[in-house]
Amino acid sequence: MERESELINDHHLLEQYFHEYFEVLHRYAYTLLKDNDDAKDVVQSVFTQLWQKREALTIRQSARAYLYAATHNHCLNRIKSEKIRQNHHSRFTANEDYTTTGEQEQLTLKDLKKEVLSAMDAIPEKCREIFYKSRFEEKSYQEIAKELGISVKTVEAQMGKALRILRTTLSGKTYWLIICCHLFTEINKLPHSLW
Amino acid sequence: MVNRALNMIEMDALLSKYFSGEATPEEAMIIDDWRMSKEENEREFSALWNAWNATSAKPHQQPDVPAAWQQMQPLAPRQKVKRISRFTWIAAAGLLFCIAVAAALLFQKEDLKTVATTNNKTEKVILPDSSVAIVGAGSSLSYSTSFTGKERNVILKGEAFFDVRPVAGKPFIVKAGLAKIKVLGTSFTVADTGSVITTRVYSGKVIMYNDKESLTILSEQTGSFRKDNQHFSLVPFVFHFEDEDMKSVAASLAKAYHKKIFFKDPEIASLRISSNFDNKSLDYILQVIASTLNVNYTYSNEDEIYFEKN
Repeated sequence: MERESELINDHHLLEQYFHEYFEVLHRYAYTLLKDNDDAKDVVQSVFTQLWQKREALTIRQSARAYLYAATHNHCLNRIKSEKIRQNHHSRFTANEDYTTTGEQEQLTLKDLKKEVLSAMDAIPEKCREIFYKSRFEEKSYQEIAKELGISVKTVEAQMGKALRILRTTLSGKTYWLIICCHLFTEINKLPHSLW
Repeated sequence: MVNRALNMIEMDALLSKYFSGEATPEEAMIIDDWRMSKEENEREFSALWNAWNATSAKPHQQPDVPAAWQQMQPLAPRQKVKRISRFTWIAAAGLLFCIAVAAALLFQKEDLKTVATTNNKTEKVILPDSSVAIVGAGSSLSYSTSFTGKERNVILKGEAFFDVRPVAGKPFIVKAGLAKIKVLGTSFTVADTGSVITTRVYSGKVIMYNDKESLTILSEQTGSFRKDNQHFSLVPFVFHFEDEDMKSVAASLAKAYHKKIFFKDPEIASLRISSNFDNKSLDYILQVIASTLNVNYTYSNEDEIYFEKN
């Protein structure tokens, strides 16, 4: 384990770690921050910090465990300082994030939303209430448990159930719609010189 | 490596916890290990993750890793090692000592003393009989400054760890809401979490009781008092490891689950773990440990578990 903290002096090793872990750390950061760009910033800063301060850092466990823990800490700090928690539900229904993009995408999203909404209707009432609170009111498991007078463990189990139902109810068609949406967003991001 | 799969319900709960942004770094590592261990898991993960993203206004997008790396170039020159942390610690310790002395002087003459902590600080208290209490964040502990009676009584709101010095014929009693905890000399933690009061015993023996019933809790056990039905019961599988080495972690787990745990590579015994497990299955705990320490575990038979390096 000691060896790893010494080896990090090597520029190439940092690059290797970056390529090996950036994607998984980015997804983890995204789950915490719910924003792709913020997640990218955070994981980049985790690696920058690892590079700049590595002599002062004592990596007690594996480099991998360090990277996950550091990503978690950086995300929590960011949530605290920027108060990025917003009401997703209103944005989801108002669709404001997509008003500037093409007409075609709007249509697809509308279709998608209907299907997703009906998929969510398949979730039993009690379970759905918990799912909505977590997903759209952005409440923590702890907050939901307290509010409903149930244990955190029950919230975990109900969320698992909601996820399973969503996955079974949403048809293959929906995934294609999602993929199309992604493609569209990506194309819109391309510099205009490429058009 | 995952030797025994978590069951589907456990896995769904863990995945939705991760998707909701509630996963600890250890749990995130378990999920990535699980995902990458089999192609089938990879597919299942994608299906669940897509379903989850369908309910999102800003769905997750796969990052462009090479571009993200390029963006970070050139890397800034390294910083010189700063050894501030040690000075900060000494200063903090000194300050804490001054506060403790001041507090001790200030409250010396009073009969009942109360130590209350803020929401993110714990406080160590030396009681008049030289027993030690560590009062958890957002908790308070009241005690008599002399302990002259037949009993040593303290009143706890919230959570505290106690290391009680044995005094013959003078039991130490913690009042936590409607439950009392009586000891002769031992170390234990009491936590009032709202709906239950729990007592975790590290050494010795403790009795939890009220007017109607009582419960004896032995070393390494946790007892709980449910406020709704006013009953006491043992909670067998709650672990709080705070920078403990694997040797003692394995000993606790072996005792609780009646298994034998061995280290194929002796250096694993000295690796350290900090984690809380509340009523998790043994395999869940072993997976967290394996992912955190980058080791593997295997069962040689139902009762024997071997740890080895990856």
